[in-house]
Parts: sequence; C-alpha cells; structure tokens
Amino acid sequence: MINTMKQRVIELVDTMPNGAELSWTDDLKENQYGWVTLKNVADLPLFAEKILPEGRLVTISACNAKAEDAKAFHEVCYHFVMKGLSVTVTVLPTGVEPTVPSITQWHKSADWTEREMAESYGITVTDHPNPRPLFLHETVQSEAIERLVPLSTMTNSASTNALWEKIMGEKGEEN
Amino acid sequence: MSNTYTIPVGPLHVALEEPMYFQVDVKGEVVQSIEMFAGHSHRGMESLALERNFFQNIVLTERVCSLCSNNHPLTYCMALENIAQIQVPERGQYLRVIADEVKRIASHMFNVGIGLHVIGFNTLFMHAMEVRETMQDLKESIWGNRMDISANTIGGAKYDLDDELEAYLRKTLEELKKPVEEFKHMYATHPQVKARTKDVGILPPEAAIEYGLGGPVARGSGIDNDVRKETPYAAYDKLKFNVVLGEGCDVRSRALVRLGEIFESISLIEQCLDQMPKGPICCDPLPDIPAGQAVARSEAPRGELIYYMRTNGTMYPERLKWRVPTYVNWEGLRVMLDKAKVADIALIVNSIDPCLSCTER
Repeated sequence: MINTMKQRVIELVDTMPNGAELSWTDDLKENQYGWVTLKNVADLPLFAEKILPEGRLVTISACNAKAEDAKAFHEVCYHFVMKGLSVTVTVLPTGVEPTVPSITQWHKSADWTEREMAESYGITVTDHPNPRPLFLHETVQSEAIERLVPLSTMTNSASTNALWEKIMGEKGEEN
Repeated sequence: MSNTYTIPVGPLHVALEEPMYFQVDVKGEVVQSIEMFAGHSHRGMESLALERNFFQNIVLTERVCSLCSNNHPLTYCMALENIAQIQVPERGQYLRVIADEVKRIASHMFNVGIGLHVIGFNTLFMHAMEVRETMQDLKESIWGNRMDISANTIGGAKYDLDDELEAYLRKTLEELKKPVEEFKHMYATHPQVKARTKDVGILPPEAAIEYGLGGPVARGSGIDNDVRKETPYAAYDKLKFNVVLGEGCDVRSRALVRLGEIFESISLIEQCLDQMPKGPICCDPLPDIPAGQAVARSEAPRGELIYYMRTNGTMYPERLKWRVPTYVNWEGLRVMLDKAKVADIALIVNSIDPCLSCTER
C-alpha cells in the first residue's frame, strides 16, 4: 500500500505545471515521509485536488522561510497523510501581502487551520469560504502572536521599568 | 422598568464544561445550523515552545491537555528522535505503550461516563467513574501522579517497572475486566441508554472522510484509521490488537467503540508485560540534535495526533506545530447536529470527546 501511495506522489509531482522537488525520509520503524516543495504556490490547489481521494490534509504549519533568497518572511507547510504515508508540501506565499490560495473546497479539514494561520501569521488566504478569525475576536487585528507583548517579556521587565515606561510613553502619560 | 432580562450564557459559565461558544439556529426543537466560536483558553503554547529547550518542552507538551497528556510528550519525542535517528531501547518502547494504554482506558471511561451523566443516568455514570478510579489509582501508584505521568523522555521512557509494580499492574488489569464487561453489557442493553443514544448524532462514513475526522469518532462510522496500525510506533508493531469499528454512525456506536478499545488496551498492556525484555529504558548518551525536520503521528485517546518539528542545530526548536484530534472533529458536529433535537445537543457534542485545552493550545 505504501509503495502504491509513493508512486501516486511521484506521478503527482510530475504533473505540477511549474515544477516541484520531491525527497523521501524514513524513521527507524521504516515509516515513510515524503517532502515536496512546489516551485510556485499557484500549483497548490491542483496538488490538493489531485491528492484526493487517498490523501487528506492533517494540518498546516507556517514557518520561517528556509531559502536565503526567499522574499517571503514565512513559508507554509501542508501536511497530508495518504493511508499511512506522510507527505509535507511546502510553498512560499506570494504577493505584497503574503498570500496563499485556500484548499478548503477540497479538504474541509483545512478550514480551521487556514483561518488560524491567517490570524496568527498575517498570511492572506484567498477564496476561503468562511474567512472570519478562528480564535481571536474580530476586533483584534491579525499577526497577534508577533505583535503583542508576551507575558514572560512583561513580567521580566517589571524590575527594570522599561516596559512600563514604554507603555506609559505611548499613552502620553508621565511615569 | 423593563420586565425582560438578558442572561449571557457561555462561553464561560458554570453550566458549560469547557469554554466553547455555539450559535445554534433552531426551528421548534430541531437544530437547523450551528456556528462555533473558540479562543477563550488560547495559551499560545506553540510560541512558548520556541522559548524552551528540547527537555523543557517535554514538560510543556505534557500540559497541553490532561486526558491525553501522555501522547503529547510521546509524539514530541518521536519527532525529535526521527530528526536525530535516535534508537529507543526495546524495553523503553514497551514502557511507552503501557503508559499510553493506561491513559487511554482512563480517558475512554471518563468520556462514556460523562455521556451517561448528560442523559441523566447518574447511577451508571458513578459506576463508570468508579471503574475509572481504578486506573487513576494505578497511575498514582506507578507514576506518582493521577494525570500528568511524565512517562516519556527523549530517547525512551522515564520510568521502569520492578517485579512488585508489574504484579500490581497485572492484578489491577485482571480485576478491571469484569467491571468493564458488566458496564459494557449494561450500556449496550439498557433501554434508557439505547433510547437516548441510538440513531442520535448521525455521522455517515462519507462525511467522516470528507471532514477528515479521526479517532473513535470516525471509527464509530466504520472508518479504519488507527495510527497504531497505519504508522506503527513504540512497540505496536510487535503486538496483536484489533481496530474496533462500529457501524451505527451514532452516539451509541462511538461509545461502544471506546468501550471495545478498553479491552484491546488491557490486552496490549498484558502483551507488553509478557514480551518486555530486560535492559535499558532510554538511549544514553543522546546524540546532538542536528538541523532537520520531521513529522510524527500517534493515536491519542481522541484520535490522530500529529507533531511537526523543525530544528536548526541549537537546543531550541525552530518550529513546533501540533494538531490534536479534536481540532478536526469539531467541524464534524455540523453534520452530527444537523436536524438534531435541542435536548440531544450536549450529548452529541460529548460524543466527539471534545477537548478545548487541546484545540486552543
């Protein structure tokens, strides 16, 4: 079964219009892991559609871009499972605002994770059927994890007054 | 003075077991559609994980959730072991299975018990909790804690079983069989339970596949998706067990799958005790963790748990992402609650064994 699934991935990668790279790893239990890098994010919907019916989306991870020449701040990893075969597809968002196309129309399990990625990392997901924020209230702007002050930073700076001076300064009040 | 009052109920209310907010549109007493609002217990744990080193993250991931707390550090360690190609000693692999299955039994009894509480059958609910208490005592005796048992570490297990603890574990499992058998018989045959759970919260197998649902929720609709069989880890490739499937696609089917899995778990632990060799429990010394990336999957009590990790050669992860089974199972409620009666909402929601703590991290 796993070999059949691997062959499906190889054939799928070959059909990507803008090209893709594929590599394989395994663990000490001989479970197989496929790693696909799409050259162009525009091919993502095609890949998501063609990986059906065996492939299902498990989750999506936004990560720091690995390639040194990458213009985007983040790259996005789509984790699929095909009957026990894990396949991770990596794309670089494009556009002035980092943008990826939604794959929720083919994989309903992408619904929540695309919305979470959009609000946490500020990556725009186009054509999402239900694009409201997942966790945070709509009045909270995107990129909250990267913009807001973590509690640990706030408590660490309590002894130096640095943070409170900054906060009070921004509010226009004197210390 | 107005005679009308508005009383806010949820997301934080004593009557709600977890802070999830539902907007339910009803016509008469029949549900037409639902919308879900989350975010009330979001803790930013994925971000916290980047501030902690590999060993500190074992502690952090165990605190993602209490009911399936063992699976989080286990899967986290598996991802790290994949990156560094760390070989877990054979005894450590069996010890990991034992911890996992003990937690599964306790978690399943809790969920089925709560389902009975929801339908007002409190006698059987108390019976479920009494049976579960046996496993809580077992956890406290072996690992020193009733929920977070700290059984895993990078490269193996953090605990060992001597002859005395092994005998105690065998005796406890033997004593558990009859009460669980009686409980399962009662659940399967009692007319009140049957009337409230049969043909309630229907999830067709096609919908389970379409929504990518996992665990006993999907298996209750006949979907064979057990990660322990699909992608073996720890010592599961050396053990014999059946994937328990249901055909009813309803609340009752999902509960019976969980009860059936308890017997498989007991058998798995007994096989571990019979087959487990003597020897080291953990890889020592550990190699340096190189730069790399890995995916690891395990079967938590609620279903498939996946961890994705990326390392950069330091002692801190560059990225750690995990997806818990409840995260995808929420959306399945749109199907299960469609045209359901208002009185069944709580029961149907409970049948996915929801975990907010896991979902929001």
